[in-house]
Formats: sequence, C-alpha cells, structure tokens
Amino acid sequence: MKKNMVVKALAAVASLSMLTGMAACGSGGSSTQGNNAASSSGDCKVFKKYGNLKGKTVTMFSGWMDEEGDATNKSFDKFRNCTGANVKYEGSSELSVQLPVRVKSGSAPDIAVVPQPGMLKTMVKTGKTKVMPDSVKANIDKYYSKDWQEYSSVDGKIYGIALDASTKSFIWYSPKKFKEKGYKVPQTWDEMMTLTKKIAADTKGTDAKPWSVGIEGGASTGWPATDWLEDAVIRFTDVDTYNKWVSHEIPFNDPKILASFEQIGKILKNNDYVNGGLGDSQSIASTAWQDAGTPLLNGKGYMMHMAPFYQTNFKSANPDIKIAPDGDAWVFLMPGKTKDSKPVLGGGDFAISFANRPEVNALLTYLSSPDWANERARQMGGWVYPNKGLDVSLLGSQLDKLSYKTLVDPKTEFRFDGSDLMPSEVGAGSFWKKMTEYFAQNKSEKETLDQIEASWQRDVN
Amino acid sequence: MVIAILLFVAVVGLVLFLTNLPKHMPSWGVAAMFLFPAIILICFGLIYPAIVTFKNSFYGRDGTQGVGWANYIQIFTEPQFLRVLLNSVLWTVLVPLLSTAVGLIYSVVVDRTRFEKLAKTLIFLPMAISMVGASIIWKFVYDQRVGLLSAVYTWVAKLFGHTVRAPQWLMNAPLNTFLLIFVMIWIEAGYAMTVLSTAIKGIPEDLVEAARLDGLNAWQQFIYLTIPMIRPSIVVVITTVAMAGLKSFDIVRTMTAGNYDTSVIANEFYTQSFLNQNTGLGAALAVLMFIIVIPVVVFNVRQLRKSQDVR
Amino acid sequence: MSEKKKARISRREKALIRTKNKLSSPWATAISIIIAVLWTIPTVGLLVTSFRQNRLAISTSGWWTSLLPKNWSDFGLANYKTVLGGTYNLGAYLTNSFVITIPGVLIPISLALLAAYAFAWCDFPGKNILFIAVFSLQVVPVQVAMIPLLTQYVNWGINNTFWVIWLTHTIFGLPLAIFMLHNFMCDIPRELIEAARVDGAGDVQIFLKVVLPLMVPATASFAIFQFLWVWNDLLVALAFTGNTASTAPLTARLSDMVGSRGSAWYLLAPGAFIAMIVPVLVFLFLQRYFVRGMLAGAVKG
Repeated sequence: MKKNMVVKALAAVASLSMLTGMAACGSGGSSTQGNNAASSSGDCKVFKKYGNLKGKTVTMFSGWMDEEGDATNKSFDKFRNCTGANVKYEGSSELSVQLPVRVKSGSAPDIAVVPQPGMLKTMVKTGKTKVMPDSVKANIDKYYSKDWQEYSSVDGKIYGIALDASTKSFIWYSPKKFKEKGYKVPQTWDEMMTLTKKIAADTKGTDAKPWSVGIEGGASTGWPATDWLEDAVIRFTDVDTYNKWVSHEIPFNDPKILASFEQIGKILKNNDYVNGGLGDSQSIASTAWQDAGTPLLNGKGYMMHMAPFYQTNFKSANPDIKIAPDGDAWVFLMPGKTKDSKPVLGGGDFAISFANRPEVNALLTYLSSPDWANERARQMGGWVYPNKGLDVSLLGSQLDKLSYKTLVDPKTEFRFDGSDLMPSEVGAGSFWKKMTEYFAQNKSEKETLDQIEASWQRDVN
Repeated sequence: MVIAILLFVAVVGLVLFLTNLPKHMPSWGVAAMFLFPAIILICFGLIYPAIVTFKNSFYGRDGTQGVGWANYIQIFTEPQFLRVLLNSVLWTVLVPLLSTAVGLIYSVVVDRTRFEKLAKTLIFLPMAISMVGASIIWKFVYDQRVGLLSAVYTWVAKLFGHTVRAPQWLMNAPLNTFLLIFVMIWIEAGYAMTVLSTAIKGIPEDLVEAARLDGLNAWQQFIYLTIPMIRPSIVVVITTVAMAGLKSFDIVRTMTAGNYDTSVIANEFYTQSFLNQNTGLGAALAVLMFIIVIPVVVFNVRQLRKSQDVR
Repeated sequence: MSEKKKARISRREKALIRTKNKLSSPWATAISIIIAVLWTIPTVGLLVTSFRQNRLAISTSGWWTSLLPKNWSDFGLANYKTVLGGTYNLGAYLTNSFVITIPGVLIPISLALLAAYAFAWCDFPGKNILFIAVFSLQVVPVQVAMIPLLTQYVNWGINNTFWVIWLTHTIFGLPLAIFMLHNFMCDIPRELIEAARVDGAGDVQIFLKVVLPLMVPATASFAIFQFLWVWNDLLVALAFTGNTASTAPLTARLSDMVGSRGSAWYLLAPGAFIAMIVPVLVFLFLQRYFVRGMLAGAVKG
C-alpha cells in the first residue's frame, strides 16, 4: 500500500461514490501562479530545453489532496514561471474510481498519477494511455534503477514515471519507553519474538500489550493486514516465491505462504500480544489504522507495524511529539531471519499520460528529472524518491532520510507491495476483505488463504 | 445561475405559449406539450442508460463479448451474492415500513400538543444531515470502545451483575445489517413524519369531531379514521422510501465498506463496475435492482387504480 | 370561498379542538419522548465532539465523558477555526452549494408540475403505462447513468460547468417530483377544474390560474425535500463536478477532507455541522408550509 492508497483508504468516510469530474480544473483554485517568494527567483536555465509554452495548458489529476496536493501543485511553480505553461492540478481522494470513469467517457486528464503498477496496467489496457516520449525514456534510463523501470513498463514499453516511493517494512516504537524499560531494538525475527514475549510478561494483567494493530480504513479496510502478510512472505520465503505468488504462478494458498502467515499469526492471534490498549485480537479489524499508533504514546502499546508516513498521524494526535531515535516515536526495520537480510516492502506513485502534445511531454520530462523531485522535496517532507538524482539534503526529516537510505541501500532487497501488483479484484478486494475476516470472524490462516485463492480463480479472468 | 434560471423560464414560457396558441387543442395535445420537456430529459438520462445497462448485463467484463446469462448465473449461485440480494431485500422492506411506522405514530402523538413544533424539528433534523454525515454520527454510537451503544450495553450488563465487554457491533452478522438499516430509518423517519403530518392536518375537522361524538377513543380514531383518510400519503411515503432504501449505498460504504456480510446491491454494483472494472457483472446487479422494485411498482399500480375508481 | 377565509375558520376550529387535548395518555407521552431522545442523542454526540479539542481523547473515550465538569477545559472552537481556515476554503464551496441547489430545485419542480398536470388532468392513450414507467425510473441509480451521461456532456463541451450538474439533478429529480406532485394534484377537487372548463378556460389558463395557486403549499413542501436532497447530495456532485473550488459543493469538499485525512473526527464533526446549518434554517423558516396542509386535504371532492 502506499500513501496514496492510504489516501484512498480514507475514502473511508468518503463513502463516496462516484466520482469524476472533469479533468480540467485546478485544485482549490490553486492552478494560478503560486507565490515564488520561496523559490530561488528567476533561475530558468534548467527549463530552457522545454521551450516557450506560453498559452498552453496541461491538466494533471492525482490522489493527493490538501497539504500534499498544495505541495505538489507548488512544485510546478518554477515550471510555470519559466515556460509560461499553465499547469492545472486537481486532487481527489477517489481517484481510483474517478479516473477510469473519466477515461471511459473521453474526459481523461493529460497526466494522471496512479497509486500502483496494477492500475497503471489497467489504464494501459484501455488503449488510451501514451507511451512515454524519448526525452522521458532518457531520464528514466539515467536516473532509475532496473526495478523501477520495470514497475513502470508494460510489455517492455515505458508508460509510467515513478514519481515518489514509500518504504513500508518499518515498525514504530517509542525509544523513550524502550529505554525506560530496558528493551533493545531487535535485530532478527527471533529476537523480535523474544522481546514480544518479554513485554507480554511485563504487562501481564493490564490492557497494555506488546503490539498495537489497526486495519480499519472505511472502504479500504484490511490493507495494513496485507502488508503484514507480504512482509512475512518476503522474510520466510525467497524472491522467486514472492514474485510467483504475486503473479499467481503459484496458488495464493501455497504451503510456503501458509507457513509465513502462521509466523505472524503467532503474534496477531495471541491475545497476550495484541491489541495494546485497544482490545483483543478481534479488535484489530475494527480499529482505524490511523488510531493504531495512539497506544504507543500513552504506554499501552509498544510496537506497531506501519510505514513512515504514519508520522503525520502522530503529529495530528499530538503536535508536540518528537519523532527521533531518542524521542517519543521512531522506527526500526522489521527484522529478517538473520541480521543481514534486509527485505523491504515498498510502493510508489506513477505518472501516466493520455496526451502527447509538446507541452504535456515537456511536463512529463520535467517530472522524470531530478529537478522536479528536488522541488517537491523542498515543498514537503514524508516522501522519498526513486530518482537517483535526488539531492538528499533536501529530505526534510531524519525519518525521511532513513527511509531514503533504506531504499537506496544496496543491501536492501526491495519488493513492491504485492497487493498493489495483484489484480484489483484480489489486491484491493478479496485480499483486504478476507484478511479482515481473519480477525473479525477469527478464521484460520488456512481458511483465509483458501478463500482468497478461490476468489482469484473465480473473479479474475 | 441567473442565466440558467432565465433561460429555463423562457423554455417553460414557450411551452405554455405554444400550447395556448391553437383555439381547440385536444387533450392529448396538451399532454404532449406539457410532458415533452420532462420526457426528453428522462429518455436521455434514465431510459437510455438503463437500456445500455440491460444490454451490458449479458456481456463480459469490458462489454464486448456476449456471455449470455453467465453474469446472472454467477450472482445466483455464489453465496456472497445471494447474501447481497437478501440484504437489499431487507433494506427495501424494513426501511420503508419502520420509518413510516415511526413517522406516523410520532406525528399522531405529538399532533396538537404544546411542543409540536419543537418535537417535529427534532425528528426532522437527521433529514438535514447528509448520508455521509449520518454515517459518521452513528460510528460514534456503534464503536466498540467509544460508542454510546457499547456504553449502554456494558452499563445494563452491570445492573445484572455481569462485567462484559461490548461486542464489535458492526462485525457481527446479521445484527450489523439491522444496525445499518436503523441509520437509514433514522434519516427517513423525518421525511415520513413530515408528509404524514401534513396529511393528518388535512383531515377535515368535522370528521374528527363526528368521530369523537360517536365515542371513538383515540386508538379507534387512529385505526378507523386517520389511517384510511391518509392512506394515499402512506402509499406515497412507503414507495419513495422503499426506492431510497434500495438505492442507498453511502451508509454501507462508509460504515462497513460492505464487509462482514453487510453489502447491498448498490454497493456491490459500484465495486464491480468501477473498482473491478467488471462492467457485465455490475450491470447484471443493477438489473436485479429493477427486479426487486417490481413488487413496489405493482403495489402502486393497484393503489392508482383504486384512487381512480374513487375519482 | 377564498383560501384566506378558509384558513381563518380552520384556525379557529383548531383552537377549539386544541383545548380538548385529545391524545394525552401517558403512553403517547412516553412514546414521543423515547423517539425524540433516540433521534436526537446521536447528533448531540457529534455536536459535543465537534468542540472537543483533545484529538487523542476523541478516539479513546466516549463523547459523554467530556461533559463531566472536570473535562470542560477541553471544549473550544479550535476545530471550527481549522475547518474555516485558509486551507479548507469552505466558503467557496458553500457558495457553490447554493449555485447548484437553487436551479437544482426550481427546474425539476417546474417541469414536474407541467408533467404532473398532464398526468392528472389530461386524457391520452397509454397515460397509466407512461406514468408507471416514469415513476419506476426512480430506481435507476445515479451510478448506472454516469458513464453514458458524462460521455454526452464531454461531446457537448459543457463538461465541468454548472450546466452539467443542474441537468443531472433535474433528470434524477424528475421521476420522484412528478410522482409526488401528481399525487397532490389529484387531490384538487374535480369540480374546480370542470367549472373552469365550463367558463371556457383552456388548459394553460387552468394550469396557471387554478392549479398552480392551489399547489403552492404542496409544491413548497416538496421543494424543501428536493432542496435537502440536492444540498446533501454527494454522488452527483462527485460524478459531475470535479473536485475543485470552482464547481464542487460543500458535501464533496467534506468527504474529500475526511478522505484525505483519515479518521480526522475533529475536523469532520465541525464540517458536518457547518453543512447542516443551511438545511436546518430552511426547514425552520418554511415549516409553516408543512403545517398549512393542503387545501383539499386527502378528501376527494
């Protein structure tokens, strides 16, 4: 899952429904020239190559709203000022529904940002998306690793630009509380289980527990649980198995997958280990993922598996929180079987294009260049970028730097979030739903996997 | 906005003017002129999409390959879809009956009391809240930890000497479907009450007076005078609320996302058509909505006949 | 007899009756109190929540606990300030809601009045079939029509304007409006219509001079409902406006607000209340139309 999914997750309340509107509109009226006081004035050298685009308009549609939307919109200010092009940005929390509807009805935006490769493939299937121009290809060859090039291609042609990335295999904890109790950050899976047992013993008889988990997210309820399972699979099997599992070359309920699932089941189904400050194992299904970190702040929970973007939720619950290695909240990478194995699950957002006018191609080229990634990093923290040309000093917080380091560390075995790669009937359908029932109706690991496999065979054709 | 309204007034004016031109316009001619604008819009916005949907229901995922009855067979053979159909029927039956009952009883009870105005406003308030807003409000009632229902539940259990934790209200089927239905009843009761109390006020005073002189008590008045007198309004309310109940999807989508066996056709249609991009299956589900509503239509046709006999 | 006179008489009669206070059994009182409480409490909970400033407490303790005097310090306007502040720009969306709603009520109701008249007082072949067809179309969900409608709007080049959303609300409001107004219209005593015909009035005069004046209260009460439906609509708004400050209504903004920040109850609660203010005021000020009742009541002449 990715942040965007998250955003989607929230469609939670946005029950919503449908959606769509027209592509051509700026978000919140901010399609105008933003204020440039912040940007280094007038340095238009970089933009020379895009030519003069005065009077031309490019529309862009994504799932980023509010602060994220504003920051993204501002990241185009220099482009606007230097080329004269009008970039109209629009954000919506229901993009995954709105975009297909708009594409079908002939009102697709020039550029859309999709939250996962699965959706990129779906969009390419419509036949309306354009292959990226050569200028973009050149940038991608230069600045992106092989993996990322692969995620944005279909049948060997590049259709997408990975704009940003998230790393998800992190576990949040409270360094202050750990220090107080004398707990150490675990380096291997076994150490993590030992620590879990120890915390459980220390907290016996109270409603504090070692782990806090929440997977409720309105219409996307269940996604954090899929991350748990994927993280287990990349730790207890090998790359090949993971890839085959995601692409359904082996059944969803393959014995190796079941074995991985049982490993996390030892935590998630044990009422002495979950659900810190929130209830029992069943309460995992009804706890909003945005609230799952709350117990870490009040000492009812000690660990929570969640991507770094959760920092926003901590800040909104308590604006004075200190997120640092010696603060109220920090993260460690979910350990593997050995100290040296560093499998990391991640996601990313991809720009795709529905038009090949020169001004659209110019903006796409800009998006695939480090200049844009730097510009966006300046506007907002909480993201890392797969673009190798990024100026790392621009990453706002310690946490972002840690994520970025993890992302580009050669030791890291990066895997793309499985549910984002699976067909949406499973990846954003039965996988979420059945993982939710696993908790809500106390189903067994086996039954859960069997049912997801059945739905894959039935619904995906 | 002003332009739109003016333009529109011009159109209506033109219709009236043209209808008025001929000396002796036959009745069907007048009808044709008066119906013309509405029918055009309805054909374009409702009938045409409905036909397209009907056609799509016999096609596959992307609407290009004919698959015969496969989509329907899938719906009627898979337990999860049967459950969805059952839930939709429950919504279509329970929401109108219960909200009408509440609205009717309430309007009779508070009619002509000192706080009629205030009392009615209280019940009407939920109407003013959007479905999404209502779902949010009720999350605070059904939440296991901070919900009011949970608090009441544990408190009552305490009275009987038990210490219990509230259940996960929205996860336990079939109770959860009824809890969601109640949210809709909560919204629609205000509508039912308003329409019905208008009808009750319309009952001529001399009839009420006569009934009283005949020695009917309050309950008998309600059964023998009020209900028959406002029957047409009751039919109208039941019908419109049934349609709303069948179409409602915001509540389910917001509160449970259709998990835990609470999904209804409207929600499933949305998921299949837009999220899974399975046009054929989505269309077949939409067609089933039409089928569920047939009894409601038949019921209305009968009422229509009855009232025409009266006229 | 003029309507005014009639009203005065019935008011006097009503006053007479009220003194007799018919249904005041303890049962009736109990029922009305139970219903009123049940219907009010959840909203009160949201209202209380909207003033709670401690975000942590909102998701960990029931709203009623904040009513204890020791927790009063938690109350404040912070959430409202945030919602009404710069980022959210609710003002623009509020204006859009009005721009969408006013024509979204007037247009379908006027067209429906014409159509309802045709169904109620004209004779033509296939009338009943057509009427039943129109009212059954209420069941067509907005989602079904989205792609076909949107495709047409794009072709006509009116995409992303208010025209689209007015048109869509009109289309979806018509079946119900025709159905309801037809029912009210049938309540007009036949004699009134016949008398006008005998006087040589054509259908247009009858419609304008006899039917419309009598339909005012019924139309007004239906208009209030239509207002509420359009005002609170989210589906059409999302499907046809694009989520921008230029055309989107308040509901779309609210749902997106929640959409992009998760269980931000502390923003959602005040947002929901701001969106409620207008419909509640409309109800309070136009309530008399509900109470007036219809000229002919449910009694067939």
